[in-house]
Amino acid sequence: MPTTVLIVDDSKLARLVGAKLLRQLKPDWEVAEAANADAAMAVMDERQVDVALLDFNMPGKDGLELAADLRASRLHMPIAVVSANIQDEIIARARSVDATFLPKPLTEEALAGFLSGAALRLRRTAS
Amino acid sequence: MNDLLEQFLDETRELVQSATEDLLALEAAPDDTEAVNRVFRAFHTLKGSVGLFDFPPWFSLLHAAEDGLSAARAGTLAVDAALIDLSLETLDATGRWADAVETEGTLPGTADAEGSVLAGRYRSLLSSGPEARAMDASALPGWASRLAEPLRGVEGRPRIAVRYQPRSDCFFSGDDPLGLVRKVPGLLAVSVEPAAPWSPDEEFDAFACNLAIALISDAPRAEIEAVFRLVGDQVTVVDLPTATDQRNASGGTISASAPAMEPVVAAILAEQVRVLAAAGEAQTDAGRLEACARSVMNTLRSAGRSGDADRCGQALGSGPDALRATIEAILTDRSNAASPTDGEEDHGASEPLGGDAVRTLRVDAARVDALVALVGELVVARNGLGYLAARAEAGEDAGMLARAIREADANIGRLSTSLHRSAISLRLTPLSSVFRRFGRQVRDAARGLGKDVVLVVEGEAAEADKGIVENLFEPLLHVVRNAIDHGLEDAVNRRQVGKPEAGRICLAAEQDGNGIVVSVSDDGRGIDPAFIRRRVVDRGLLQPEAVASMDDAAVTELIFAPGFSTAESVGALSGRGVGMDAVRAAAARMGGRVSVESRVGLGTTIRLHLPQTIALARIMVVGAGTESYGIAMDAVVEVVRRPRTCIHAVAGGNATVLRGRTVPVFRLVELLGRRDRPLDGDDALLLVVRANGETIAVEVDRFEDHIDTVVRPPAGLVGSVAGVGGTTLLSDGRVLLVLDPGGILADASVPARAEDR
Amino acid sequence: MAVVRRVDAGPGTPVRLEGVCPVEDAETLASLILEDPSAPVDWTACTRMHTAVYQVLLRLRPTILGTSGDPFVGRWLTPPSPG
Repeated sequence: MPTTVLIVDDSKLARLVGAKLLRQLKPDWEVAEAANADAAMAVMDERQVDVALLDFNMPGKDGLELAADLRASRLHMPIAVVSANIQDEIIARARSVDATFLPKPLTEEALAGFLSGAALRLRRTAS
Repeated sequence: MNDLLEQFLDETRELVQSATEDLLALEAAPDDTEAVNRVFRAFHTLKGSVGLFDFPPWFSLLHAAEDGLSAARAGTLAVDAALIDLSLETLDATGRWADAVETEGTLPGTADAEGSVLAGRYRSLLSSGPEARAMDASALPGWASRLAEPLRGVEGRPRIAVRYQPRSDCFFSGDDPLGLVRKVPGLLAVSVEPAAPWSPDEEFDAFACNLAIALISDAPRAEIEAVFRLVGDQVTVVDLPTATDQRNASGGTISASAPAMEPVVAAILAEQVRVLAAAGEAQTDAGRLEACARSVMNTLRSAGRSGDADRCGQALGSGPDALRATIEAILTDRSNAASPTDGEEDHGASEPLGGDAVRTLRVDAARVDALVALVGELVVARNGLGYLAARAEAGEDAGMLARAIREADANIGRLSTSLHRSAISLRLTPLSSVFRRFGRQVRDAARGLGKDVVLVVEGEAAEADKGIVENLFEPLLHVVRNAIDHGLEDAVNRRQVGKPEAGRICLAAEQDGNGIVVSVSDDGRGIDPAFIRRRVVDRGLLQPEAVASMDDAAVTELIFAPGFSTAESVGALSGRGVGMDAVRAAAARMGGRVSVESRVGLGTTIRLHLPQTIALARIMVVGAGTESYGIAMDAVVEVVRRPRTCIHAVAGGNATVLRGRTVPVFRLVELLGRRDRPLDGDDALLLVVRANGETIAVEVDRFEDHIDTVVRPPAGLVGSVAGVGGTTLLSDGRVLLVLDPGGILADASVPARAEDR
Repeated sequence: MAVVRRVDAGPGTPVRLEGVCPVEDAETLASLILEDPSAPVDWTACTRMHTAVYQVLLRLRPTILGTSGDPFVGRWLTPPSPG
C-alpha cells in the first residue's frame, strides 16, 4: 500500500497548496484531506493513514490537541504541526507529543525535510 | 574595579550560595519543584548577569546549565546525583571565576577548557539515546577559541560563535542540521566533528546524528539566532572578544590604558546620543542637554573613566552637537587609552584580597536610618556647647555653668555612645552567613570519608561583627572536619554501641553577655583523657608528673596545645600539622577563646567564645594603691561593701560569705604584686567577679568611674603580661590597663588560694 | 536513488553520488562502503548533501574524489581524510 499523508486544515486553499507540494516531493505517495479534527478522525477510520500534517489554528480542536489524540493511539506516526506562530510554547508542546513543528507558509524545503524524516521513521517501524 | 562589576560579583556570590543550598536540599528531596524552580532561576539570573560583561566561556557554561535546569524543571531531565554534582561543580567554577575577575580582571586561562567540558556534560545529560556519553576531553574543549584562532588579530565586526549539537534522533524529525548552517549569514568558519566517540564500525547507525557543529559569523546576533529558532535547545550562541579587546587584554599594564567599555556603559552612552540627536523645542533642549550630560558623566565615572567624563563636561559648554560628538568619539574610541586621570583609578584592581578584608557590606536600611537620626541629635547637642561658651564669656556664675556643662557632656556622651553602637551594628551580620556554607562542607567531608552525617544548625540568627563572622569560617571548618574525621565513629561502630548510623554534628550560636558562643558538637566517641595523658607524655609535651597532677578537664584542654594531634595517622581531612592550636590562635586573634567539653562515648563540644563586636566595652575603673585599673563590667557580678570583720582568714587566704556561699577574697594590690599596702578603713570594697568558672571577690581601694570605651587588645610588652586584657585611653590622656580577671587568677605567681569545692 | 554504483562493478570502482542526496541515501552509502572499504567516493556530481550523508563520510573515511558538487560542503567543510 502506498504511503498516505493526511492534510488537516480548515482552509481549502491551504489544503490545495499542501497537496501540490506533496505530489512534487513524493510523487508515489497518496494524499487525503480533512477540514477539521472530527473529519480527520473519520478519515482515519476509513483508510490507512501513515503521516499527518496538521494546521495548528483550527476552530474546535486545534492542531496540537489533535496531534496529542493521534499520538495516543499511533505511537510511531510521523506528525507535523504547521503554524505561522513560532512561539516557544507551541514548539515545546509539539515536541512533547513528539510532533515536528513546521512554520507557515509551508516551504518546499521545510516539508521535504519533514517527509524525509517521516520516510525514515516509517522504514524503521516497518522493519 | 568599578561599581557595576562590584555589584555583579556581590550578586553572583549570593546566587552561588543560595543555589548551592537549594541543590543540597534537592538532593534530599528531588521532587521539590519549588527548589528546582529556584535553582533554575538562579542559573538564569547568573547567565543574564554574566552576559552583561565580556566572558564568553562563562556565559556559555551558564547557558548550558540553564538549559539543563530548564529541562529538570520541565520534568524531562531527572534530578539525580549526576545533575546535582554537575551543577555544584558549575557553581564552584563560577565562584572561582568570580574571584579571578575580582583580582585579575579576567577569567583564568583554564576557563575555556573547563567551561567546555562542564557544558558538554550538561548537553550529554540532555541528549537522548544510548549514544550519548559523558563529555570528556575527547570532545571539543575550547571549541570556540580553536575555531576563532585563525581569525585572531583580524579586524572586523564583532563575531559570534555557535555550537550546534543536534539531538541524535533529529533526522527522524526531518532536521537537516547542515541545512540550517547553510542559512547562517556572515559565515566565517565552520567545523563538523563527532559529538561523542564513535561506536564500532559494525554498529554504525547512519540515521543517528552524532555531530557537533561549530561556526563563527559576524552577522548580528539576532539574525543568527533566528536561523536556529526551532532548535534553540541544541544550540549555544556565544560572543567572541573582538580583536581590539584581545589586543588590550594582552597589552600589559600600561597605567593609562583602560579596559574596553562594558556593553551596559556603551548602551547608556549610545542612548544619550540618540536623545541628543532628537530635535526639539529650544527650552526643552537646554534641560535635555543638561540631563544627558549628567547621565553620561555619571556613567563614565562609575566605569572608572573620569577623564572621559570631564571631556563631556567641557563639551557641554559648547552645546548639544559638541556633546554628541564627544560621546560618539568616546564610543568609537572604546579601545583607546583613557585620559591620564583614569590611570590612578585602575590601581585597585590588582590588589590581592586579604583573608580578613571586608570590602562591601549589605546593610539593613533601618539601621542606617537610625544612625542618621542619631547624628542629627548629636549635631543639635553640640550646638548647645557654643551657646554655653557664650554664657561663660559673658561671665555667668561658674557653678551654674558647671552644671549646664555637665548636662551637655552627659547628653553628648549618651549620644556618642549610641552613635558608636549604632555604627558598629551596621557591621553586625547574622551567623547564618557563615553557617550556611557548612551544608556543602559537611556533605563533601562525609562523602569523602564514607560516613553518613547529619548537620543540625541552631541559633544562626545570632549576630556578630562582620569581621568576626567572616573569620569564623576557617577555624570552624577545621573543628567540623576534625569532628567528622576523628570524633564520629564509622557506621559499624556506631551501630554496635546503639547510636544511629548517621553521625550528628550540631553547629550552634548563642548570646552570652556581651559576646557570642559558637559551638560545634558531635555525638561521636568523645575525648578520652587517659588517651590524651598517654599521648602528651609520648610526644614529650609534658612531664609525666605534670600530667598526673592535672585533672581530667585540664587534660582535655591539652588538645589545644601546639604539637598535639589526636589521630594515629593524620586524618584524611584534618590536614597535616594543623592542630587545634590553630583554632585557639584564631579565636584569640578575634579577641576570644576556645573551650572544650567532652564525655567519652557520648561526644564532644568545642566552643568559641567571641566578642560580639569589636566595640565599646563597659569598663569599671577602680583604684588599687595609687593606680587605676579597668575591669570589664561583664566580668563583674556585683559590687558590695563588707565590713572587714566579715572577711575571715582561711587556709591559704581570705574568704567571706556572700549569699550563702563562701567566696575567696583577694586584694587587688596583692594580686598585682604589691603586698606592702596596709588595709584601709573598716569596710572593704569588693568586686564580685566571675572568671574561669570561679567566683571570687576582689577588694579594691576605691571606685573611680564607669566608662564606655574601646579596649585595644594587649600588644608589645604589655601583651606578654598575664592578666592584662587590654588597654584603653582615658579622657585625660592616661593609658588605662584593663585587667583580665581570668588571666590574673590563672597566673602561677599568684599567692596560693583557697581550694575550690 | 542518488547513490550509484554499477552492479557489476569490481572492487575499487567508485561509488558515485548524483544530484540531491537526501537523508535516506546515508544508509545506502554506508552499506556500500562497508561492503567494499577500498571503493572511493565521487561526490563531484552531488548538488546537495544531507547532513546524514556527510556524517557517513566523516565516520567511515573512504577516499574522496574531487571537490564536492555541493557548494556549501565544498566551501566550508574539509573533506574527511581517509582513515
